[in-house]
Amino acid sequence: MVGPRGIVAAGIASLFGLELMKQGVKSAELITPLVFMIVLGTVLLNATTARPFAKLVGVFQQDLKGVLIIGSSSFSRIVAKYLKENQREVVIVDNNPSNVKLAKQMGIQAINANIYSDDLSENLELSDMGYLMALTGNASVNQKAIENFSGQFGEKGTYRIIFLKR
Amino acid sequence: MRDPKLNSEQALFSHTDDYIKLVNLARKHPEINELTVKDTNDFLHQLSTLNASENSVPLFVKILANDIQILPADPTQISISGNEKIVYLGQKLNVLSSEASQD
Repeated sequence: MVGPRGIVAAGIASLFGLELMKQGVKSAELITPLVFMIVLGTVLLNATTARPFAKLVGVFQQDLKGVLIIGSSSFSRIVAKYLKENQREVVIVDNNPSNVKLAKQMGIQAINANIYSDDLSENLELSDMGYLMALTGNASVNQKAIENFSGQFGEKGTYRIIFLKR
Repeated sequence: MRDPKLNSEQALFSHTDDYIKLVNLARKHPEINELTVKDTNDFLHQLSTLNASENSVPLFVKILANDIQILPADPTQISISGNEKIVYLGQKLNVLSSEASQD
């Protein structure tokens, strides 16, 4: 998370520093640079030690393990169940309520949504997802899913099922 | 469409396993199995054996305990160190190792 760290302290220090200088308080001119140095120092300390500390205490997320599966066919549900059993977070999205219900009955998180019209980011936390598997029986839907989410997951994180001419 | 060049890096599993085959196989053999591989040669050998079978489709590569990598259509993108397992859908197969099959 990036934000204006110490901006309140810096603002107040500038205000009070100038006021105290006007009143002739000794060393008042040092307040503002001192506060800015402390703010800068703590920001640098935070930036350089947060990752090693998170690793040390075991709360560092190595990789985004979640898998978003588009399409809830029997094949998708078997894949989702296997991934879930192997500690992967899995979410299935399908526009067919029956398929969504079948997935939920297997204990899989499933959402009834249409990737053409619904904003999935409103329904699920995409920041936990690292991969997209487009597994519907419709090549256009799979391609649309890839296009919609390639920005989120990257080229190496989006996969689609192939289609063969039979 | 069977030409690998016609499918992008985003293609899943293999260049021959499409939706119809996957769904039919999931109905026929709704089970997922794992197969340990020794090295890259063994990995590619086992993969081709699984791909050649009508009753199996390789899906993932399992690295260590629970680290799972999605198997792309181009398997050369996967690096094998020897502790991996091929995760596949379908009938449990007794696949010979690449060394044994050469004997």
